[in-house]
Amino acid sequence: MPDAEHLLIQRARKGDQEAFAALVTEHQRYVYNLALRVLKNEEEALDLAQEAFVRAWTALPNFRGQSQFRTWLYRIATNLCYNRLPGLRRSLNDLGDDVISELPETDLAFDNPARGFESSELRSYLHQAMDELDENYRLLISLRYQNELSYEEIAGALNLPLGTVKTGLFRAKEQLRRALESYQELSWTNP
Amino acid sequence: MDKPLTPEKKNTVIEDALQTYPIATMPRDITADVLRRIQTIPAPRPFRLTWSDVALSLVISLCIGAVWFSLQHLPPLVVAQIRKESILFYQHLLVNARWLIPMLSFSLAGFLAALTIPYLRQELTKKSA
Repeated sequence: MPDAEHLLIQRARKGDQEAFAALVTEHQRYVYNLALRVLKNEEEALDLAQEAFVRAWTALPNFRGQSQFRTWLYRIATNLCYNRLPGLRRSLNDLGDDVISELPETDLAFDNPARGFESSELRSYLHQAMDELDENYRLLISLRYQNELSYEEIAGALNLPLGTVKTGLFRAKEQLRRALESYQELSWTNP
Repeated sequence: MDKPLTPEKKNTVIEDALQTYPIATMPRDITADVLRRIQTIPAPRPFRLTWSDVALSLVISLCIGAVWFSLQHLPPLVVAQIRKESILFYQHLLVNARWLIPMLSFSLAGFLAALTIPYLRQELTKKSA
């Protein structure tokens, strides 16, 4: 945890609203984004983000710093998502933990301009496919790739076994792979 | 896309899409709204132990101690008498007032359920607002 943030948390725990406001300003975008990806509704996401910070304020005296502040905050936001989408918790639990392997994470470099164009078009198509995934997959993807949590942090925030988190992400990628294959088929039939 | 992507290339394309999935822009800053809302929350009462708390706990612990001490030092005949009377009383209840125990259980459950009514009403008011 950065020192500046640690100091802000200490001050906020003592009731300093200005320090808490600084924490809200720092984290609001990520909490809102998480809510938006799951709920797919701007107003609801804004409302949930506000509610998450209000709850964080009341629960702040109990925050002992065992986890990172942002992970703790995402846990509050996720619990609020569970309240609004009652099936979300069950669908995450139902994922199981039978993952066999993980997709390797690699860096991309499109140096060829033509391929760059193709990749940006493909990228947009896949981003759209991500928006159409089930809510449990959207939540996992958002926590992993946008909020940049590790698998262990996601498991802690969602109170799920590590294997379930890995399985969920693996299956989300499988669905994206199928979307990619259908994109390829489309591009061959309509060149 | 003129040729099919290899599995490795597919993985790479998917990872790229995942890593470039844009973070949504906030329609407005919510800091002021959050501050407004937290100002309406009453400050938590600090934990404070008063002399009356200490005196009350002392009296309660003395009473419990006295009951325990008395029970330990009662003459065996009195203990046997109490046990006999309590068994007789329980049997009397079973024979003459079978309704009493279920009624007490249901009353307790009803009382506990009634305790939630103010909270539920508050939640309903909040939702309708």
